[in-house]
Amino acid sequence: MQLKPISKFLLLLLIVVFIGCSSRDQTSRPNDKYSLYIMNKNLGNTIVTVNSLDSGIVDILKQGINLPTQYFDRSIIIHDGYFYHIKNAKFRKFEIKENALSEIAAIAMPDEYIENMNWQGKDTLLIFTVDNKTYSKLNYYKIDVKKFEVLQKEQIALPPAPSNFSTVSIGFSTLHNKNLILGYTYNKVINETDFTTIDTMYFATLDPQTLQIKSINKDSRSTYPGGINTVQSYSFHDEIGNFYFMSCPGIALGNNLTKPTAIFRIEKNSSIIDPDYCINLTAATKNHAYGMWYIGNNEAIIRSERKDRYTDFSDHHSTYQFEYYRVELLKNKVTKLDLPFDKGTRKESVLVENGKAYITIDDKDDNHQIWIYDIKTKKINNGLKLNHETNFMVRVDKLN
Amino acid sequence: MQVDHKLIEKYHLNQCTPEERNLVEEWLIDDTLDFPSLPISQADKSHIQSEIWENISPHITESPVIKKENLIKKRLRYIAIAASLLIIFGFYISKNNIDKEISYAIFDNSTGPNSKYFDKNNYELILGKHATAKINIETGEFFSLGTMVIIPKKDFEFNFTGTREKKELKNGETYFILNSKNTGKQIILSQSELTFLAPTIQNQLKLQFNNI
Repeated sequence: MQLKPISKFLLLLLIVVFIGCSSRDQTSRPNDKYSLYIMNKNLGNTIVTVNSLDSGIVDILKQGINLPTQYFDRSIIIHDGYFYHIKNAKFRKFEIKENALSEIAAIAMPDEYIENMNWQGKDTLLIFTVDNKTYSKLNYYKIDVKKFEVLQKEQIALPPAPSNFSTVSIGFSTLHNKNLILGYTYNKVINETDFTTIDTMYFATLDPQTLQIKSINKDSRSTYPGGINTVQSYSFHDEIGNFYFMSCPGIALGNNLTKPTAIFRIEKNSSIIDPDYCINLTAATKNHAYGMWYIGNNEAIIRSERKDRYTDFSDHHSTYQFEYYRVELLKNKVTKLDLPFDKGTRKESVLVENGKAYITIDDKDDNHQIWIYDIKTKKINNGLKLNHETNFMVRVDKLN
Repeated sequence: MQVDHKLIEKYHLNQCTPEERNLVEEWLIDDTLDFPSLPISQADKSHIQSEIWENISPHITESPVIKKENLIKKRLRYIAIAASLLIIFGFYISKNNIDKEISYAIFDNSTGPNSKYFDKNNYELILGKHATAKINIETGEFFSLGTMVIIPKKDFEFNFTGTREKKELKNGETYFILNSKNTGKQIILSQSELTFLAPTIQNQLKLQFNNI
């Protein structure tokens, strides 16, 4: 077939436009549906945004947003198209602009370190911080993220720490049964590389308006209730309003191995922990776990370590050891998912959407990909893959 | 306010005000900044140049001395060559030994209650309280006791003490070196790998080193 010069020109134009579009597709876009936070082999950090986790291959260095590690880390909060991070005494808001994270607003938050965050609807964020000098003074911030201003700031006077346990860890916060309930515990520093946690979980019930403490409850069935939820999820509400959380006494959070990792519950119309409910995960798996995500219908996925595979905290993150289990919360049943061993201590590696659990795994064959677990059929398929520049996929979040 | 070596030292010792801290961190991130040239006036420059020239010139103007040879001198010449070779060889050996000593740098903060900052040609080093280090950058031998931060100024291979294990350290990256008090094992983590440690350990490191 002979083409007329004008047709040839139009065809060429079409190709140029097509290449132009597809190369624009290569970069991260603010309207993409998902965000992945990656720790690269080159020691940099990258955020990749995608519209689908179901398939595709991403070249993280070409398509991702490079983040300076002096400024950002994986505790970044990702919500409704924006990114939030505390750095240099300010809580800052960022948006994606020209393939970079660009700061658009900041709030002074001197000498603070975020232990826990909690979204109240689309635009209100509750932050619980401790001071970065003594790690013992607890502050509460209620922030309007749209106007980016502090609506309320209160100091929460927790009872004094038991002797020798000088620092406090906030494991969860939840607005539940018209109260604000905080799960927390106390830690003891032994030396520069060793520490432990007291053998008790503490729960403070507060007035959500005044932040005055109404009561403190204790439970010694485990310790370290929850964990730092800007890094990994440890709690949720079910469909009818029961609140579940996991305790994390293993070496990556509490380091008190006399206690089991377990799932506990605060029932819908109660403000105290259910004394008769406990799923002892350590008894079921002979190991400790960190991370729990709700998949609906009274079931959750947990991420569990393998003590026979790592030596101590020095190789805990680099060892291919993490397994994923499905937990039936009302039947006390724990079933291992058929997935390769994952690496990386404490990762936000599960995203649940439309009947599927998207699980990011960095496996021993240097594959960095999403495994799609169909919650109903229990079938597992491969999804989006990242290239070999990836070392750890430490977060998967819904961006929009 | 300008970022200079004093401010950077202050920063690493955790003595900066929040403004100073911001300034240093922005300076670290920003690679578009222009640096002013050395603050030397033209007069000083000419003075330094002429001083250097004065030192060099006598060696250049000196003409070589030519001497006539005789038989005795010829014999003497062989002896002299042999002696020179011996001297050169001896000097070479002794110099080599000196080099080895020089490249083994020893840092001691064993009695210090605060961290201590060192700026060397090939790396910056911040020793934590009561920490000591012995470093040979050429061989990668790195003995450490306590907790420290190293920021290499060139790529080098880190040899873990007492093992054959090695790790490539990258120019400009910040590394934390810890010694497990329980196993005695050396642990080396890059800035972002630090987030894998338990929060309580991370907090202790944040208190000691202000650059996390």
